[in-house]
Amino acid sequence: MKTMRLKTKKSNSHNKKSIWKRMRKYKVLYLFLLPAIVFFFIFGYIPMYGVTLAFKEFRFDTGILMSPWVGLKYVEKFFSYFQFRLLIRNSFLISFLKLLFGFPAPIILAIMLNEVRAKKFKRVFQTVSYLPYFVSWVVVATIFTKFLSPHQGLFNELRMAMDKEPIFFLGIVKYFYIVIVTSDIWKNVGFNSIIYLAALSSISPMLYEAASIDGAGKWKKIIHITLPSILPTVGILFILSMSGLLRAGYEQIILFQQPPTIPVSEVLETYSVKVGLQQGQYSYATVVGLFQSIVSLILIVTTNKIAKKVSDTSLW
Amino acid sequence: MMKKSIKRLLCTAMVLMLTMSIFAGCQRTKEPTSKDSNNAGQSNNTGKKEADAEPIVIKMFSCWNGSSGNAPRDHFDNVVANKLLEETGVIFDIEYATSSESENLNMMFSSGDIPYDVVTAPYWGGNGGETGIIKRAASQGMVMALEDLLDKHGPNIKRFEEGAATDFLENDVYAPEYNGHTYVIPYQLPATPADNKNWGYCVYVRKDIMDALGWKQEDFNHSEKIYEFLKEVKAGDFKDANGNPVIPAGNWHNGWAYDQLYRSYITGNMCSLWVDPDTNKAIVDRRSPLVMEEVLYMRKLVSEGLFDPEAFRQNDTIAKEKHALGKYAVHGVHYFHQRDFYEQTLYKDHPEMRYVPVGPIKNAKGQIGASSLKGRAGSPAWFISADTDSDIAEAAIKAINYLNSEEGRLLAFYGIEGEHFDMVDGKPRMKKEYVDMNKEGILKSETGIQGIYRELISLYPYMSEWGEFTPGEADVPDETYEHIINNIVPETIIDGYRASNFINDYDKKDDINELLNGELWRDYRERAFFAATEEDAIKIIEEYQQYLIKGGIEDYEAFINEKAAERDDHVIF
Repeated sequence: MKTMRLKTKKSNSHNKKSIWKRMRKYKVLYLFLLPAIVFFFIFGYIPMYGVTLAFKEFRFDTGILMSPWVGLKYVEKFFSYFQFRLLIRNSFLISFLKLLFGFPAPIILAIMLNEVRAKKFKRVFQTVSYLPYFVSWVVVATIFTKFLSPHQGLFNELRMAMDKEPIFFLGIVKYFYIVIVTSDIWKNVGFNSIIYLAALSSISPMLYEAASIDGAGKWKKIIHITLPSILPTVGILFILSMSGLLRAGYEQIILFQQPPTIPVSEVLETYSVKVGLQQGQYSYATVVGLFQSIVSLILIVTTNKIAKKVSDTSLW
Repeated sequence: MMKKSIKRLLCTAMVLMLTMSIFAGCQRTKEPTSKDSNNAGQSNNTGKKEADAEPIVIKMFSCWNGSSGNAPRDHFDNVVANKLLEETGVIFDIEYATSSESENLNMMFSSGDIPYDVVTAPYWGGNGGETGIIKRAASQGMVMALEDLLDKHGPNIKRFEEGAATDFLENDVYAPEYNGHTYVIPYQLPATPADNKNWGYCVYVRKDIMDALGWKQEDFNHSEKIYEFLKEVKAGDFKDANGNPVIPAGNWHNGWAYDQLYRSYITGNMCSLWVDPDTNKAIVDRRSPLVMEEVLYMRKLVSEGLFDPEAFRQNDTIAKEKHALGKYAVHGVHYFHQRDFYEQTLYKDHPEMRYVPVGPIKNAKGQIGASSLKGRAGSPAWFISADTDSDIAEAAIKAINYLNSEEGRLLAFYGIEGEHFDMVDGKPRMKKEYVDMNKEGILKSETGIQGIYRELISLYPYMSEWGEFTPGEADVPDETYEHIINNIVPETIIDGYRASNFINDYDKKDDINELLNGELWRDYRERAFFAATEEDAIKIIEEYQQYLIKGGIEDYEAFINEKAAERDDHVIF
């Protein structure tokens, strides 16, 4: 036993030595990591001291560091806020709907594009599908608002042509969810499909050829070759997307929010923006943000653990 | 070996470049405003010409969403800027807010390093909104105390007290938390009670539709009459400028100002309080029986398709698109905004679609018109950031003091005598060419006159010295405006102490301010407008009222009534 421990120690120190040796040997390559390390240290780790704001009374003159501590004052305030449960429920529901419909959408698009044989058409379609990602939410919201307007909106014009009364789509809860999910998919599906297209391109054509010889049709090839091949990518992205289960997307929600949909659309992020930026309650807004981050961390760790147990896919 | 060395060198250079690029933009550059102090000392307040001295650039921020509409095309070369430079050696380099004023102020102060010397912003009094932010920042050392500079270089500026209401001065300009310092200077104040500008807030109706339906302006004497009219509009086949159906009623951006439609259900009180006629005790008006009537009225309009459901949250662009087409038969707003907008859009091709003010509509007390406090009770204000260089601050005060002189005010409002206006019987009369430019909306951008520089002037002597609110108006009276201010919304000047100021003595002041958050109330109220039934609408309002009660509003109301009983002077509710 003693010998074994000694051996392990020896092997550990040997490993350490070899790591340093390797690093020295490939120092130029390791040097390439430096900008990333500097970047994350400055923009990722140093700002983390801002989290302390949740436990301080922010003063303009002293800044975050010197503002006086107030303990859990704002945490208690947040948990006792009369709309606390509503905010959590709305955040989860909207994010869940986005995940449910928005997550498979780029996979389906990527598979569909992968099956297209006309290269030119494929490229054009791919490029067109990326474009909405680069359009700001303000423009997207304006386009959707115009289309759905009860006055000369495209959809209502069609309804009226069929002798039906116009509907204020954005002011009805069930349509609000549909609009939020579809506009999110429309904006992001093309861009999100890039990673799946990359994964698809790495599948060996020989597999498809072999499957063809065995008499497999398109559908069977997709089920038995394409999908299993991109499953690790799907798994990783699913785990990552779980961290956003409380992040419904404040910009989109605020822009689509209408008085009748406020009870279903007020989410943690919109609340945080309202109390933080508009009312200047920075400490309180930080508590809301911190709460979101903690829940996200718990979700991502739990999902990763489950994924590790049930499959080979995991982040770490 | 050589090849390897070059490769290494290249790699190292690339890493260094990448690393350095992270820091790009982090470099702190000296602001152009920080001029050499020697130059600043040369400016004066006595009219001595400063043309030869190097100009002192004062960085100014107009914290008004959309105020860029008042901007000159060139801040460094326009009529007002050139004269100001000549007289004081100062030039204002101005930036304009394009988003919420509160957000801008919060971000500016919390950054800890205000990039501007002079800031103009809303300052309506009380402890909420922009006023609350500025008060907090001033009492936390972010704003410069101006009393010494004003004593030395700002005699004209100090006259702002003449135009401010007593309780505004006591509670906001010289707020208790300022400990005797002067941090904010209000502007846009009436020089005398005669200069008090009546904005002409009322309901406007498209005249061709009104005539077609056989209605007269004076027929609209109650909110229910508006409702009847809107039903007739809906039943009629009226079109906008594009030939599409009109919407019976709507408003401008973000719902501004549909409250004119339900005027019959508002108290006319000045402090958001309702006084029970039986007990003579005040409660917050959000708990009054009138609020239910107001909500049910608006719900009726929305549910019957008489009010544009998009109007409550529509943005400025979408709202203007609708107004430019004459899409609404009825809307509420102030006179000047709608007049200027339509003159430049709808009326050009469709003068027949002119909007006319209707009323008077009596309020819940049966009164027409509105009450105004003697002196302005809540006003925009300017301040200087605490970290502004003392010489820059001194130069700014001297320049602003010049703008507040008789000559400076005429410069900002009328331009240069002989060139842009002439004095006729002791009153400035702008030349026709410039009056026309003003009507077209290009005077401010081309010359700076009637533009942004007015944000630094405290007292506006419209009627007392100039005999008109708008250049050219004295020669060609605006009959519509005269009709509004005389018959539809005449203003009564009253004097006294507003009950809302008692909150400053309440020990749970911050809690109450938070409880009465206007945005939350707006959300609840507008949700109720869309409720499926009247019962549902009432439930929504009751839920909000319960929230107020749980938050301690009743104790606050009791405190207000106690304080009101203690005061000897006239308490205004």
